[in-house]
Amino acid sequence: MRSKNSSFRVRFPMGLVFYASLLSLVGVINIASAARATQPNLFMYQMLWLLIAAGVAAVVTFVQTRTLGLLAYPFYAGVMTLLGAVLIFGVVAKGGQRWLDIGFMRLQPSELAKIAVVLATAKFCTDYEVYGGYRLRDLIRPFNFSRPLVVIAACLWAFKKFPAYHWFAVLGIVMALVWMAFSFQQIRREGFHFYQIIALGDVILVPFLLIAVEPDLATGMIVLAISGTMVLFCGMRTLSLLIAGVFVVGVALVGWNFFLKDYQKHRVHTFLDPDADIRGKGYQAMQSMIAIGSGQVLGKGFGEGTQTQLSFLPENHTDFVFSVLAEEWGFVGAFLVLALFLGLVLSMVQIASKAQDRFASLLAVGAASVVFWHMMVNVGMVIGLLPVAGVPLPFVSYGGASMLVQVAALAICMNVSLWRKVR
Amino acid sequence: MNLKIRLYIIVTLLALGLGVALIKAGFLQLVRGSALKELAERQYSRVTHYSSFRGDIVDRQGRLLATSVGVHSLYAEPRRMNRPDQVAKTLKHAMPSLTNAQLERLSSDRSFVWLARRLDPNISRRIEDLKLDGIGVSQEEQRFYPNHGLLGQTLGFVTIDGQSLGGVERAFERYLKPKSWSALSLQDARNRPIRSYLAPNSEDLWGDQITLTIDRNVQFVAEEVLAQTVRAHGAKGGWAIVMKPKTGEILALANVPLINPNKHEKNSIAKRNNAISRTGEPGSTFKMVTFATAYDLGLIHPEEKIYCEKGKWDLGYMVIKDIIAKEYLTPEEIFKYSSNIGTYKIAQRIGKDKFYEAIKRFGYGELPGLNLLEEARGYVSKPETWGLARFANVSFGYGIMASSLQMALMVSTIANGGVRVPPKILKNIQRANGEVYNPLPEYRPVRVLSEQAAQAMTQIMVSDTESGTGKRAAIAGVKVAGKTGTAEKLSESGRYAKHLNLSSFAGFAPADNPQIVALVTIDEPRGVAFGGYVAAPAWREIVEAALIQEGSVL
Repeated sequence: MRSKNSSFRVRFPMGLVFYASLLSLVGVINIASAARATQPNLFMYQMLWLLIAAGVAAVVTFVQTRTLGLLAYPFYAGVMTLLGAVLIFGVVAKGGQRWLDIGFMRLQPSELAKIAVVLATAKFCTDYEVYGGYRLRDLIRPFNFSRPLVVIAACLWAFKKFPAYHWFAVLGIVMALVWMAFSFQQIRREGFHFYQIIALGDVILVPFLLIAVEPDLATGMIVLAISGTMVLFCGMRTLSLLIAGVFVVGVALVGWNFFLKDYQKHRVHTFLDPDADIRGKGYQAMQSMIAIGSGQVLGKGFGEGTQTQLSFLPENHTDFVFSVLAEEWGFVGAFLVLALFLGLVLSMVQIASKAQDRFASLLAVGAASVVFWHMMVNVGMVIGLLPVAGVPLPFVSYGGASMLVQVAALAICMNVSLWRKVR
Repeated sequence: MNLKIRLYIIVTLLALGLGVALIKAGFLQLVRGSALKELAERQYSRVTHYSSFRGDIVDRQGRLLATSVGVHSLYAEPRRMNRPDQVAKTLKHAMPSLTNAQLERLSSDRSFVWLARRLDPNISRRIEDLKLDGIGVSQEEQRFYPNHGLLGQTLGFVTIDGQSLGGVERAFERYLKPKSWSALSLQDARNRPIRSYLAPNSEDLWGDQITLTIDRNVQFVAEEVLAQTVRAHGAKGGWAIVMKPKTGEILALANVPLINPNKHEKNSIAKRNNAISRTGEPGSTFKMVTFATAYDLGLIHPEEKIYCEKGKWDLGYMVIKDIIAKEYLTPEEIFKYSSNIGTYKIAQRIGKDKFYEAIKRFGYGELPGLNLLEEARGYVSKPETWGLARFANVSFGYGIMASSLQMALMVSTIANGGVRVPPKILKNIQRANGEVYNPLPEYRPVRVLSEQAAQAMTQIMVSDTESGTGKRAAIAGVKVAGKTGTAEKLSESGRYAKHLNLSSFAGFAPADNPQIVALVTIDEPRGVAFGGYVAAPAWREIVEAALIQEGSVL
């Protein structure tokens, strides 16, 4: 028999904590340099946020994994409500309606959505398993009776709104009723389950759409990527995956032509050819690449990065921290930080592989993808692989919300690791 | 697919994504690193130029001839301005003399424009007090010549943008111009400088001070006397050179009419420094070369009588005439009466080649060596090309081109006992820290004539002023040696014109211990044009003043 203590030692994810602490340390040091001229005390605030985040982490870590499962849907529902509220009551800033003013602070529900999506997707995929992997229709479930209900509601609204066209509305209602008949047949065949109302696709797409219309496409895409990764981890059939791929490309083309706002198109153009207009829209991308490139192999040293210190580099302590790092610590520094991220994500994936059940495993994968996608999109944008978007680098960028979300993801993994049964 | 395989796939994709990021980072930092670093440097480096004022020019006693003063100029940085129209209105109110065209510059896209230069200090102070954003008053240099026209042609001048044109200003530009000091500093993304060095003390950047050999007082007298003489004789102009034979120092280089370098835009023709730049046929003053050479070679005897053809000598290839027609003359008399016939007869004894060598030894056809850009070389053709008539002409000063400075140098050589001391106008240069130096090479004095020949020359030159054509140059109590000259100028048609003369007098004093050499030329005097009548009195006045100034005699 092992003592309780040694069992804790086995379960405690040392690697995870090691990598995350190192990255946070790098972040604090880096902020101290980046904001030296403008806000010399900023790194202390970052340390304060780390402390607060540690408190949150403690709570998340020490509730039972089962409890997380119980909280998943209520939390998800709450966050979706907040996302809806943002669209109506939100504060408009930086070209989007993303914040809720709750008196003492501004809340950004899209940050909470990242965690909510992890919990809800994990819960859903655990409760709704399809042998041989999900097919597209398992994700969409067109004959859920919620679909004709939505159509009926829409038709009723249209009936009142456009009385001249009420025949169309009536036709719609009739078709919806036929559709509903199919739904009931499906219920009779499969029995009544929660998934007769909501499909996995709904869980994934609703937050994406709510965030994307704020508009905050980048965060929306990240939320989509997180849940998408989890679904892929659960397994999808190859043909369905192919069809989904074609569909995504189609949606992207239509979206580009009809739905993307001008500033979003600008970002993409800028990304494709940053040199074309160095002083204009390509400025941030170009400055970032200049800062990184001028760091060369060994970098310019702490506080010596000219592009950072002389404010050529934009947003240098938030979105473009990686450029600061690469400028002052060179390729060596960039390489080490990327290696730390690789180590962190790998140890999270490892926790997923050793988790006690499907739910815990999915939680860990979700947490890993939160860290991974933020890191990937941020680094990609900073080095010119992706369009410029406001996505922070986990643990390194300055920012309380980002820190809380990333530490929460970390804590979910620790939870999974600590609460597993050790043979 | 079981869980393990799916995990492997996820991990592989993850590593792939990171790998691509790493490759791109490596490409930026390792491959394009140095190029991007250069780009970065171009963004943040800022070169600041510091400069100061030109050095002063002073005379041999340290009296100011040219100096620089700071004046205020108004500039704008339109790119830094938010409301140019507002600024324009305020400026117009503070300084009504600003034109609309000047105010329109505020709306341009330039980073720097001059609005008005050389402002009234009261107005510039008023504008500075307004503290307008993007409007500044800067100090600029203005060259100032406190003595106005004095030494104008020789000093040259400096344009509003600090460009030196002509004279000492141009010739010694590299010493006079302010030292510039560039500093590399940093600037941030808003072009704000971040200074990380000590700005230099502006006094350390002053240009060097040039001390000329000119004596301001002698210069002043020379110009005054010349101006009076030119006026009295209705002449076109005149010039004078005063120098010290022993050292070659130029005490005065006067040119009339005067020009005022403070207003250099005008008087473009008068800007010429005729004393050193104009070349022409020297006329009978040049007979000194003939006589000196003959004495040097021992070819003439003071007691001998030379037949002077009764004033008209028809050689077949030319006719030589004398103004004073005599039958027999001693060499001294030939010199005194300026007999062309006698002079040619003496020259014939010397021979073409030896005579040419002597001319060259005296410095004709070469730069005298003041190191001013305006100095003329003159022209002496090779003796092989001399026909018989040309030889005759050269012997009494025609058919060669020489500058007045070269003539003065010849007189100075005789005064110096036959030793040619090259002339100089630059006494020394003083750095801002007080260090004194002279960058010009030391010319070695050259013996041109024997002592005895020089003595003999002095003798006949003294007799010229005592009883010859140069009587009016005599100074009471001082033995004066000199030679008159009345050279006919070529008119525009290319012929010698009787009414276009250069009347000159060249000589030195005191004859037994020469202190001052001077040459005075009056250009195209009206009426009686003989050098002894027009130039000699002016010469006397100038040399009197120079002797007093130098404190040696009188």
